[in-house]
Amino acid sequence: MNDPILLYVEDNLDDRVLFDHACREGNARFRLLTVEDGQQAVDYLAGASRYADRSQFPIPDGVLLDIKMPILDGFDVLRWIRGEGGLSKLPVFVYTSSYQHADIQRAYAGKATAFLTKPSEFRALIRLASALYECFSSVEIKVDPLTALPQYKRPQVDDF
Amino acid sequence: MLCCVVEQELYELLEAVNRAGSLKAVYESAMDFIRSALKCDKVAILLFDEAGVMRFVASRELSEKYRSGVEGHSPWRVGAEHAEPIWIPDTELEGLEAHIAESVKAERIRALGFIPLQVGGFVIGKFMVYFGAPHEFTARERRLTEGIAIQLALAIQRWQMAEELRRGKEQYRIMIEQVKDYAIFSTDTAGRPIVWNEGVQRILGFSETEFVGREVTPIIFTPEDFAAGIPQKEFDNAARTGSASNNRWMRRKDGTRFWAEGVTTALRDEGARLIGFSKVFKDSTASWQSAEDLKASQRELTALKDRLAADLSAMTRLQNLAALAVRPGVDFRSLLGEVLDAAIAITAADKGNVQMLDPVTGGLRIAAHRGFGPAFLEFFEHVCEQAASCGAAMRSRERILIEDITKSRVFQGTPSLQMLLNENVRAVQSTPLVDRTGKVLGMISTHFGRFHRPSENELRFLDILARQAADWLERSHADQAVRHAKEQLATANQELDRKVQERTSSLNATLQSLETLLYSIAHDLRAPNRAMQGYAHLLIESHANGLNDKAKFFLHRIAEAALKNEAMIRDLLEYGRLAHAELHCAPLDPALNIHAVLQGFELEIAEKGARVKVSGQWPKVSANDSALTHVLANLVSNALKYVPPGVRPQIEIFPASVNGSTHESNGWVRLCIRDNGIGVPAEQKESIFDLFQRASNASAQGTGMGLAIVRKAAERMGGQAGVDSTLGKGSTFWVALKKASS
Repeated sequence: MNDPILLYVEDNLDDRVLFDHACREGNARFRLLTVEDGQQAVDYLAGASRYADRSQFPIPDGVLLDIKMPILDGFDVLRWIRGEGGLSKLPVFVYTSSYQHADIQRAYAGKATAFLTKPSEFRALIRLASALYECFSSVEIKVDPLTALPQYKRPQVDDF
Repeated sequence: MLCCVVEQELYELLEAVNRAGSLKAVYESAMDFIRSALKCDKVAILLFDEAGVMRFVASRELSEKYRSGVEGHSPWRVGAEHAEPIWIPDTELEGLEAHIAESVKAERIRALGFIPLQVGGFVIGKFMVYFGAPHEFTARERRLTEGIAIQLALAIQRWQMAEELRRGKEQYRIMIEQVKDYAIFSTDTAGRPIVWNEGVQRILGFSETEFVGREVTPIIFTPEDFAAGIPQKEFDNAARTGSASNNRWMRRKDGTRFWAEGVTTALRDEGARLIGFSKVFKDSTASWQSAEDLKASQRELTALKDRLAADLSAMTRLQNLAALAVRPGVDFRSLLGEVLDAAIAITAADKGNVQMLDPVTGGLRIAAHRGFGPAFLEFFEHVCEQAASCGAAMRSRERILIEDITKSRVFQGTPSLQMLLNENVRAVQSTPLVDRTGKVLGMISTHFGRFHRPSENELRFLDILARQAADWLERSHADQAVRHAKEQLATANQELDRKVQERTSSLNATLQSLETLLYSIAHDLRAPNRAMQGYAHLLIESHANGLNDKAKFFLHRIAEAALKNEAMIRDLLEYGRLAHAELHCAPLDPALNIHAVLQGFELEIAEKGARVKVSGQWPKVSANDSALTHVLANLVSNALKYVPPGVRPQIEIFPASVNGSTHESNGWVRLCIRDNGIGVPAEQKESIFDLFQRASNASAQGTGMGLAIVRKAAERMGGQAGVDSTLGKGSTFWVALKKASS
């Protein structure tokens, strides 16, 4: 089975580096592709200009999408995916340091697959990467991937 | 032959009787004639007196005894008609009445005759002839006596009538002369007195020579009557109708006047020719005066009655007004109208107005009026106080009475005068309405279409009315002030409400934007924390070989600091949100929240070898799901954290009822978390729930915000949070929540 392709949309270099390391330590064997802002994400998914070569820039199996980004933010990208992009089945994990209720609502309203809060502790990041990988390695993603996660792994991960 | 002799003899009688100078002389000559003509011994004449008794008036040779013995005896009654003489030739042979017979015998009378004296057929008396011896009356004697009877009767009648006339004239003269209470005089046709009486002198003061035959008319009539031709009119009236009234003032000789009451009568002779006038009058000044006095006192009585009626009406009005004024909810404007109506009625005015002081301009403004036209109202709306009675009264604070506005200095040369004259006003009064402090509040003016001054009585009632009206006005002002203050207060309250709402909504907006900013900052702050923590971790885990223990320790410290920083940011945001975000509460089973929280602490519990026990039956509570979870997580976290070194945490979670048995306390339940930790010093049991306040015995782990969040969350859910603790022997933290109503 080919490694699942995960497109990580993240403008913060540290987060990109640490997620990459966490995947390695957590044995989450994604083929990890990264773009650095919302516009690049749309370009990539649309196969525009420099991402036209699909052998080099294949359609991902899932998107890990930061919200707070310059130019186009995560919600813009989500809207494009579910709208113009026509990628209604593409799993999109909104991934942010926010646990504001408004953001969570907005993410699910935009048909995000799940809303994930960035862990502040590296060990938690490793567990998150592992769990995410588990989702993709299952035969099919029928269940809300969030339910696969321990809902109260940390008390600060809440949703009011 | 006989006849001629008799008539001859009778002629002698007639002459004798006619010569007689008196009635007595008539009797004497008649008796002489009878004695010589009949040769009789005795003779007598008798007449009915006024009482109808036959009495002797004259006699010859008759004794007094006989006369008194037979007087009153008569063969005929008084007024008998066509009587015949009675002859008695021999008294011895005649059946006379006993006492008559006796008298006749005693007087030695043997024969006698009764011959009636008749006038117009009626018996007025008789004459008697007597003989001392029986005597046959011859035909000649009988005829003679009849002739004598006729002559004698006529002579007697003539003398009687003459006597009556003489006596009557004398009586009339005496009567006229002696009437002193009436002036009686007759005049010729020109009004000159001809006959007068004592009364004239007594009433008019003239002597006979000053009065009779003089031109008295210009003197006894008053000059004004004389000038008006009254004397001639009176005479003309009397001449035309027979008499005229003489009731008028007349003058005495000395010029003083008296009230004459009497009549003037026209005098006419037998041919109905006007020959003069008679005037009869008396001095009725005294009775005239008393009649006048009576009239005057009647007028006074009527006036008094009117005044009493007016007083009663005024008092009734005032009373009704007073009753009206205290009626709840009475409109002051209509009350003013009533006051004005009362003022007009009380002063018997034709029109009027009530003015009130305008608090802004300080001038008087008409508030109620009766009977004025628009031009007047328009005019006085603007210029009233400049020059009018109300303005004058306003300045003096006393009533102004103007009986004639054309002569008043108040109005002279002012446009107000013409205005008032146009309204037919001739007199006016203005009475100020003065409050109890002496301040003028308004004015009641009433106007008269005649030159007039209200009576003292009317003014007295007007004063009472003004006093009442001023009181009502004052009260109305006070009411208005209260109402105004209330309105202002209401407006101020509304304004305040509006401002509070404005401020609240702007504050909410500020909070909203502040919150947004806060999250934005938090987001940005957390990224470096993650980086520091992540890289430190990577160094320790992946590159440990190149690091000595000291370097590893430092890296740990960096990672810990980053985590703590993260926790503080998180708690700060949490507390801020709990402080103002809306928390929707719903019935929850706390057991589920406890279960979930404990799951979250599984690892830590295992690491610390802690024992956690959940016991009891949990009622449903009214709470916000995530807030409750948060509260429980913080409390469990603390229970695991604050234990003495080397002690395994022992935690029991159980429900407890709230102390007290009141109905209210029954509606609550406490969620208790008992630990075996370090405990809380008694004096800090409250302060540890404040932000950044740690118990003095607690290490500086955590953010110092956990319990503040617990209390805030509990309070925002309508509950409370607290702790029961014994230092060194553990604590029981609790959250009291309302039971969910089933």
